[in-house]
Amino acid sequence: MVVTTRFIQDIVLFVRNLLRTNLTDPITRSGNEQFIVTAYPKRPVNYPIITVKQINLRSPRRSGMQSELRWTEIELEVRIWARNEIERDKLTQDTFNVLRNNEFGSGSSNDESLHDLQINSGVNVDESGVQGNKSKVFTISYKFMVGV
Amino acid sequence: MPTVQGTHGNIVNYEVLGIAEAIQKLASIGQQVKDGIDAGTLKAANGVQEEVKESIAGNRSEPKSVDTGNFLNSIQLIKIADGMYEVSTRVEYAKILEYGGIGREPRSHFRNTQARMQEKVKETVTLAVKEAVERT
Repeated sequence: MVVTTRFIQDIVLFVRNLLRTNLTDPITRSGNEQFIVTAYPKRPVNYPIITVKQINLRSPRRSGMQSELRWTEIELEVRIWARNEIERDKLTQDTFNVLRNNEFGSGSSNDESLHDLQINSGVNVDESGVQGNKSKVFTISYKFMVGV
Repeated sequence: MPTVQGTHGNIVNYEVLGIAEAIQKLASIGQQVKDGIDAGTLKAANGVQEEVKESIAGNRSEPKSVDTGNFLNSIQLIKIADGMYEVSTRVEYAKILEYGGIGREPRSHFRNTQARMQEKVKETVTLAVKEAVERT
C-alpha cells in the first residue's frame, strides 16, 4: 500500500511488483538473480532486465491555502535493457500494456491511490556494435495526494 | 474603445462608433502576445541552454562531462516554430552520458536541468507576455 510517509519507495516497489507479476521473463535465471530490479546492476547480469527507478518529484501546489495536502507528481524511469532491438521493443510493449491495463480495478494503481498515469517518453539508448546492449528509457508518471 | 451615442427625441437611436478601431486594437494585442510568447520562450531557452552547459561543465550537481569540450560546445539552440525552441546536441555519445549505459552511471544533464528550470521558464514567458501586453 502506498502511504504518505514512504510514498517514494512504495511507488517504486508497487511498479516493480506489478511488472514482476505480469511480465514473463524470456530467460531462465539461476539463484536469486532477478528480472525486474530497482537499481542499475553493479555486477554482471544476464540480459534482458528491467530497472525501475524514481527520478523526479514535483509538488507545485497544495490543495488549499489552509491545507497540508499536496497533489504530487512522481516520475519514474522504467528502463528495458535487452539483447537486441526486437526483444527491447517487445518488452517495452509488454510493459506499456501491463501499466495501461492495471490502472483501474483490484490491485491496480488506482487502488494504491496512484492516479493519472502518463507515459512521458520512450528514448532508445543503444550501446554501439552488434553485441551492444539495446535499451529503452521509458519515463512514466503518477499523481499522488500526499497527506491523505 | 467603442462608444455608444445617445438617443434623439422619441426615436431610440444608438450608434456604436469605433468598432473598427477596437478590432484593430484587439488584433494588435493578439500580435503583441504572440511576439511576447516568442521573445519569452527564446529568452527562457537561452537560459536552459546556458544551464545545460553549466551542468556539463561541472558547475551544478551533476558530474563534469568535459574531456575535449566537444559535448559542451555542441549544445545548440534551434528555433522549431514561433514560441518553440529546442535545446539539443547532435553528439552521438550524448545519450549514453545522459541515460547511462552498462557500467556507466547516467549524468542526466538535460533531465536535471529541465526539472530545475521548469518554473523559471514559466516565469520568464509569463513576464515577457505581460510586458508585451502592457506596451500596447
